[in-house]
Amino acid sequence: MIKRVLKSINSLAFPISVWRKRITFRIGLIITTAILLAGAAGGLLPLIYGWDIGFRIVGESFQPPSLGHVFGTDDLGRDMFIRILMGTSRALAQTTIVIVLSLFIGLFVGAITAYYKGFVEKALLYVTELFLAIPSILLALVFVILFGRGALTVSLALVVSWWSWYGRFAYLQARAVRDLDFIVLAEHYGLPGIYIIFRHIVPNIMSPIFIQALTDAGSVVIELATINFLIGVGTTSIEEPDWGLMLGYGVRYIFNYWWIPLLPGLFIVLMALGFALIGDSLYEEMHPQLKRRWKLWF
Amino acid sequence: MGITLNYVVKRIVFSTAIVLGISIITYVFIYLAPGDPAYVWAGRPRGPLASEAIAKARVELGLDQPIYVQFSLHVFRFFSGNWGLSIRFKQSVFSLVMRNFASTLELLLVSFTISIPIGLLLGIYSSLYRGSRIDAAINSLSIVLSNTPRFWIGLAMLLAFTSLNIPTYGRISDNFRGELIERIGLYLVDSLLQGRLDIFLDVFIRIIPPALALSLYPIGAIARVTRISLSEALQEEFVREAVSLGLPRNIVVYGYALRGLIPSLVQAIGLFFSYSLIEAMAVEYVFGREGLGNLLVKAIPANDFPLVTAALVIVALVYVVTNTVADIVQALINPRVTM
Repeated sequence: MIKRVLKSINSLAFPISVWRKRITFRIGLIITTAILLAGAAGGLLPLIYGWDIGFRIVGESFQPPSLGHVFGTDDLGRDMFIRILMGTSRALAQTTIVIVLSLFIGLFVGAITAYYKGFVEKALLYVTELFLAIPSILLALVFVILFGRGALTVSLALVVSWWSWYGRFAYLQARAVRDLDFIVLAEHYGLPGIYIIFRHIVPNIMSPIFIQALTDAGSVVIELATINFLIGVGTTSIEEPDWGLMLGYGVRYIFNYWWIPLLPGLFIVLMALGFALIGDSLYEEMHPQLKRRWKLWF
Repeated sequence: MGITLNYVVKRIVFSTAIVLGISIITYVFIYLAPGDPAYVWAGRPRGPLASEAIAKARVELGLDQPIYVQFSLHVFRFFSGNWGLSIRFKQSVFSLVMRNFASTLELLLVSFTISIPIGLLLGIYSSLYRGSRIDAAINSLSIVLSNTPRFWIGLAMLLAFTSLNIPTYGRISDNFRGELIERIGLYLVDSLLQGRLDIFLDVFIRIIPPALALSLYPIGAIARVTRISLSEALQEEFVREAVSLGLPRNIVVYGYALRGLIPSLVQAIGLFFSYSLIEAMAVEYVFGREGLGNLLVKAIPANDFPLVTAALVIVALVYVVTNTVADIVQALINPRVTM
């Protein structure tokens, strides 16, 4: 038990040192924490005040931001603050589904591709390349026609095309450790391949891929927002509190009531930026040749 | 050279296999999806003529035949460009998608003409001064640029230009629409072929704002890739050697260090190009230009399955082609590359 606690403290040492050194990491972490808190609040609101809290008409339409309604009200008189909070928890949930599932699939497919040489490697590389070629947003549209509208359909469509990124990345990483002594020894010892993959290969290739996934979370948010901004197929009705939908629907009010389209857009940008800043500063710290303050020889 | 040719042939065979795989995936979508494929293919019809439309779709898809006949029919139709009839527009999907694809491609080409030099320059300067304030500023800028939604920037630009009374909405002014003769579908080239400078200027002014909005992501991404790879290259032995020989800095950086990076940069730019295709659709829609994006926005409410599948296939094909070309360029420049 004590050993485990010590180990977890030890694993925190790296982020803490990055926190000390990099202002981008600090900004990113603060933004992301704020987004996470907003998401938690958005998830709790319907539990406390009833499921229709985001749809309730609370006052006059088109009220500018004030103390009563922090982000103002929209065209129907619904509170923008509550709707944006609920949109945050929605976006976070969708992003988590996409990133976690595709990371899981990609990591193991990549490790298996690199471990088993020969036909398995060729076949899995082919499959990975095939799914890399398929554009995620258009796949989402196809899924929507086949399985109906909704957040889950769009998220799963993104997973189907997104995992291939991590598959390729994990393959490249795993190929570098595949022929190292500890893998070959384990193989000669007679351990089953699946055990070697789980116990020895995956833990050794995980951290760069995790960082990549952290950076990608922002791109997932943007893709989801793009789909809903264009066509709104990631929602079942136009009432739903989704950032992309609120932005796309509110565009018509941009000249007179700026807060209706601007605030959801701002949250999309903030979330994308927060994850990207964290991922980028971790990447830089792991690659010392990038950070060295180093006069060129000329 | 023999090895390279071998590699080129191998690469092309592999890409053909990928295209075949894409056709198989579209087959899976159409035939193995839940529900009646003919019903989906006919666009979920309702009303008195629905059963007739479904029966027609059934014959068209060959659903009454055994599965291997269906499959070979599908692959044959896929490769002969017969991708069905659009439900929303009642036209051949292939010609519809191709015509609109030219517009998207034009936008994308202009935006990459803008973004490649800027991105490269930012990346080179960033890696020459890395660890300094310039590097930090450029790096933060590129993160912000590559993580802002493009349609959002496009919207802001549309508003700004419209309030300045500069025409940006649409692809070409309505007055010129009848006068332009379409030859290859890229209006910039078509107007010049026709010798009409006024049309060219109109099209050019209208294409610049969306192209700028679209070029932000590639600028940031190319700057990042250049920065990372050039920083690594500058620490190599041959650069140290070149410096110790007393060569001037520009020759060392551009002639030696950067030359070795051309293959990987070509590959990265090819990747960004094919991924920007999707973003181009969103930006197009914002600016009201014809193109794949506007086509899809109109097609989705009608459940236009053939059209959406065709758009997916086109984008996937662009990915395969750019990737193949980039790989072959890489092999030509660097013969050590093998499968």
